[in-house]
Amino acid sequence: MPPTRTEPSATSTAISIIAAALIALGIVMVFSASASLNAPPLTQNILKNASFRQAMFSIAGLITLLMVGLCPYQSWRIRAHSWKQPTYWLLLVVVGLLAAVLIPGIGEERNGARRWLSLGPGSLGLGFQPSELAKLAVVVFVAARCATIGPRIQKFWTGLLPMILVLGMIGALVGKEDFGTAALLFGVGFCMLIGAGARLWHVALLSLPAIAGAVGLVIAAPYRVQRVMSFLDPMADPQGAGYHQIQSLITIASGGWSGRGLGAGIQKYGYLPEGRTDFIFAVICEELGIVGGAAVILLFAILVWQGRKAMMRADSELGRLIALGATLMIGFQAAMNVAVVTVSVPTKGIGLPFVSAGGTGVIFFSILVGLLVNVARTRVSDTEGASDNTHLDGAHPIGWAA
Amino acid sequence: MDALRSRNPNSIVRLLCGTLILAFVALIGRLIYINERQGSTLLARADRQQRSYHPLRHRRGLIVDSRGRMIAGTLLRKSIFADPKVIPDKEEASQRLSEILGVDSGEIAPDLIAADDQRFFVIKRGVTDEQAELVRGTGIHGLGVFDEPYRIYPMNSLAGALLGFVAADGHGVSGIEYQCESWLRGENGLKTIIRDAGRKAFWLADGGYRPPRDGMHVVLTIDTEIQAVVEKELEECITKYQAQSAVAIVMHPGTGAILAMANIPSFDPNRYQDSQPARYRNRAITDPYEPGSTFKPFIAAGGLAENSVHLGESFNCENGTYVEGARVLHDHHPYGVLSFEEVLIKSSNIGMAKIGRKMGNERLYKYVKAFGFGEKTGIDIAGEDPGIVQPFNRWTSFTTSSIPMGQEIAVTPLQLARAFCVFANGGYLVQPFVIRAVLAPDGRLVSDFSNPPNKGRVLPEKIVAQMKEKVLEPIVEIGTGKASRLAHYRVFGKTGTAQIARKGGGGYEKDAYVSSFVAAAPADNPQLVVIVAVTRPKKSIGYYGGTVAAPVVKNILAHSLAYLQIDPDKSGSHENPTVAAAPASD
Repeated sequence: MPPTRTEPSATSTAISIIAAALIALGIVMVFSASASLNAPPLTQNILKNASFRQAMFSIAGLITLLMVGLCPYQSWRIRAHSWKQPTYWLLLVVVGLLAAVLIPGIGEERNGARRWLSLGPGSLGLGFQPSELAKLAVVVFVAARCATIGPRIQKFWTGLLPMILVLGMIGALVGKEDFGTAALLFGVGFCMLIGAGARLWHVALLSLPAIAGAVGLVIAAPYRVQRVMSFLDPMADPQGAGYHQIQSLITIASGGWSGRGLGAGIQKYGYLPEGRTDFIFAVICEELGIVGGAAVILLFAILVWQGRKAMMRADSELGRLIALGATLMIGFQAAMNVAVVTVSVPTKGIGLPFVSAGGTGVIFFSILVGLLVNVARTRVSDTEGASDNTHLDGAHPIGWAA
Repeated sequence: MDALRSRNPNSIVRLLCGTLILAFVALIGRLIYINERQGSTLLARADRQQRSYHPLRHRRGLIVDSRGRMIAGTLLRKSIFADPKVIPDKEEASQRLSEILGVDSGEIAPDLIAADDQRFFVIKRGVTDEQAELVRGTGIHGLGVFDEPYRIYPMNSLAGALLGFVAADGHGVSGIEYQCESWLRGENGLKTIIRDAGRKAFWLADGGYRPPRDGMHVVLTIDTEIQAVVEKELEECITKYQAQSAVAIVMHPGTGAILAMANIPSFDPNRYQDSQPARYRNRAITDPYEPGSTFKPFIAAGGLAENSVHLGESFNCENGTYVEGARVLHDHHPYGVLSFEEVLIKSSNIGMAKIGRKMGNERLYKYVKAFGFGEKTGIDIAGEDPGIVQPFNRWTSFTTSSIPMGQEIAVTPLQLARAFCVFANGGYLVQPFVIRAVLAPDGRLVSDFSNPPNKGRVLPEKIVAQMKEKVLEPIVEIGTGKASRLAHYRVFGKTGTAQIARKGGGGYEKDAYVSSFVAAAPADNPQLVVIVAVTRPKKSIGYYGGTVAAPVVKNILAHSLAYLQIDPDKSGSHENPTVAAAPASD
């Protein structure tokens, strides 16, 4: 294992600043989107106030980002013959929690979906979404496992299949209640596998049952069929199935180029459902206009671009794959969310990373960005030569590096 | 596969990231597309669901008399409205409303259900404050009380035909209300309110408050005190003589200002639906009639001015029957030889025919036109009739004797009163008017119409003085108009008892008369001209203008001159003029 050193780089600074900017925007926009004529004053029961909570979780997220960014990502490495296996432990915990959340009485149902675990005193109403943790678990597990097995990834039975089975299990557990997140996990996982060198046709073959499962999930839940139908023609039932999509479009169009002004949106007053969570991007467009919305999209695009830079110059395969996973996880989710809000794809319950209200999301996305920042900070020590791309566990580099 | 495997996996990563960034760019394009291509329909939808519009009703301007007394005004009344769309239980709402309003619930419920797609449905106009409070107290979502302006005429039927009325939609339909619509009518304002999804109002839209503009006030030349006296006198007169109707005008001879213009029977604009539409007519300007003897002074004055006849000239009145060619003329009383003055004082038709003969058609025509007959006076109220004067090329030798006694011509009471003003103001034709000024809602003067230019001299001053002194005053002192003599004022005037021409021509109706009297006072500085015309008095009770109309004029003059505090011009009286002039009921 070559000696490494960590130091801030242009990339790590850019990523940190963009993430911090998005988190700050989240605090402001959640506060704005929470405006309501029926809301109690902020000072009354402040601990249950969504805006206050978002601010607190955002601050916690920023601290998390800094700490994770300073901790070496190599600790997620899979070690031979050791109990210190954070990746596997994390995987076990996630599977356990995902299973637990499905059990009535343990899992908590909100808005018709059982995605939450209650946490702490019930009076605080704190909840935890295991599916957010699953995003982190999938990234580090696939990255660490691929980095460990190296070229064996090209072997179908011993290399690829076990990982696909793990992904499949997590996907199935998440997909039962949260189709969008399951699709996201699968998408990011498969892209990481391809990025790690898996044969394309292997992945394509194995994605067939996943697609079949997805179709099964869609057909099994009538509301998903309805979402697809209403996506195809929202105006067919403007007060019913198409309501959400129409309101989202109205909200976006209300802003015009420059927006009504921060805080001056109207649609958030009961017209646009989920305005502070999944549909916060529409509120941004109404209040800050196309300019504001495009700026937010550009921030994510720059984040992806900087993530790409980080993975290009990563000092190891593990770092490269973690950077890839974190970047895709954030980028895919952002793109999916904006696509849903702009009614470019059927509705799925998926938030805008860092910005949508939700403590679990902010914290775990901060961890992902923290990992990305750490990868961007870590360089192979100059004395060893920057081009050394050795695997941490000493396995053979794949194909091109021979 | 080999090719792919041999490639740097980073190229796949590049591809993935590149695709993702392209997707972001496409999403920005999608944002622009939504705004540019669907923006207007979506914004219209946004406005429909977020905004509610509330008209702010304007107040129609007041109509006040020359002393500022309100004749027509606008009040607010409480009315109940519903937004049927949001009423949770229409049956229950109807039940509660019917209890409060004291009507059968069967009357409300069907309307309420039928009006489902209206956002604003008026259930009942003009409820009491208590009822309004009770409706508010029900707390039923979708029921409300609003203030609605409505027109009132506090003096009821006073000057009804002159004022006209306002229809249910707020537009003036006739009279001053119609004529002055553009001044009286203001403009409703609009309040645009942004509401949350629960219909709670939370702010005013940008530019969402356009205040209502209230209408301007119209000041009339009418004096309601005089108007009231005139109407009371006319009422008594038509009751006494069982007449069909009566018209009177009081005007200021110097300016043409109309102080009173009365039509009896009248109608109450507050309840205009209860009256026959025929009563809406302001007959003083719309209904011309054959004036008969009241027309004589104008011809006589013309004859004097043209030197065709002169004071003291003798006319043989043929003992009441005069065969003139194919035509036989009659006087009411047979007279022998009368002087020029006596012809008028005794109102001899035969004498007038001879005066006409001396003047000839051209001069007759000249003076008929000079006194303003045959054309509209131009008074500032709609609906005026020009009367009837045959075009000169159709004048015959019959006309020569008809016109001097007020036949073959139709005039409106207003034309007659205006022409008589020439004798009262030293020889000028005035422009009659009833609209004195227009005031802004805050009372500021906007337009002043109180001094319209007159239309030029008709008679030399000398002729006017001669007519007044030698002809018109004696008519009142010793002639047919004796019933209008006043104790303290010198009155001059002319009576008329005209037969009503058959509709469609061919002679006159039997025993159907218009009894009229036109007069002015005080003689040395005339301040008032009064005309009274009573249609179809019962002949057995009385029908001469001097009998029927002259006492009415007398009472009007007595009351009005005293009310206006005009100095008496009759010498030899030491009594307090105000008290002395008052006995209108002697």
